[in-house]
Amino acid sequence: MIRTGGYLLGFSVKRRATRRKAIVVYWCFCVWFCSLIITRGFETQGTVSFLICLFLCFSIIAGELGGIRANGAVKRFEGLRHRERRPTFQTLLKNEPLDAEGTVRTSDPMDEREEKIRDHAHFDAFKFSRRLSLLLLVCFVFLDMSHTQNLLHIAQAFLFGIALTMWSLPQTLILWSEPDMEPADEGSGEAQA
Amino acid sequence: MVISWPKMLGGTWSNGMIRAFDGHEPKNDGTDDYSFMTPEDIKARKALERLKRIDERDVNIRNSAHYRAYSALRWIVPAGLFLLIAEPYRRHPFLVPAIYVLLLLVVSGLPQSILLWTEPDMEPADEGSAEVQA
Repeated sequence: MIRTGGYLLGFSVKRRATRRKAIVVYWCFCVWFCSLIITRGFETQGTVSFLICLFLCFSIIAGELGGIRANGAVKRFEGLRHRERRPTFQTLLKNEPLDAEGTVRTSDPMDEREEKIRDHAHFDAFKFSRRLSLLLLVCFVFLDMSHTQNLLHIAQAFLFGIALTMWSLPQTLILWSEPDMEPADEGSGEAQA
Repeated sequence: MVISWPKMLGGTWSNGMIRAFDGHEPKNDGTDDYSFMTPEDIKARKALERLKRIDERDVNIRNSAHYRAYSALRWIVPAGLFLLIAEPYRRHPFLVPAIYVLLLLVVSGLPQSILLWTEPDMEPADEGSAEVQA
């Protein structure tokens, strides 16, 4: 389910412990970003800042965590519909595997076990998202009654938080729960060497 | 209303059209006899019954529906966010709770809707038409 040899925010994804560190860093960044929206909002630059945030979502979340895009830490969720492209100089430098026909497979097809893991991660993520949405709605109703000044900013931040959850929670659950890819001895042997 | 409306579909609620996602069933007519059992035994028995009620096929279908629903919501939620930010809509404060409620309804009911939409007929088509004729 996790791409071997991948990196997440500079951390190797082979070990679960290092993966979890990367995930904690990632979610701290997300919380910080949401708090920034609460204080400043999208008001200043409006739609332009929203587009920048969406671009960040695509480039960082989809790119780094994977799942939605091909070259992330997690395999592409719809792995069966992988794209095939001709090898370029860059792919030759990266030493990416080639097919018999000479094309590059950007994502390996998923087997049945991986599909089960993927679907189960989405089920768990959906359960969490459902509760989060309800909780945020209740929070918003209470804030609305207290006539908070920057209510629109809070609404934007809450919705942005839900959007971030939608984009990255299943990948996070997979990265968090999958076991180590290499035995502990091998890693310590490398470290000693 | 926001909470009770999606419960009609089931999934998160026992008495809906779809069985509870985590295996709960509607309570029967009191035939279960838990007398002369210790609390631990009752708990173990209930856990066993709960495990029995949802089989592997159900779990696969349920998870697959959630995957498809989640894939759709990845685009629906940013669209809602865009409504809060885009200039013509930002000036209407009533949109904020409306978007929230709509989003909550979609999040609460989309997997159940997908399941109800895609599951095949429970009885053959001929049998139903024969009943109508009778």
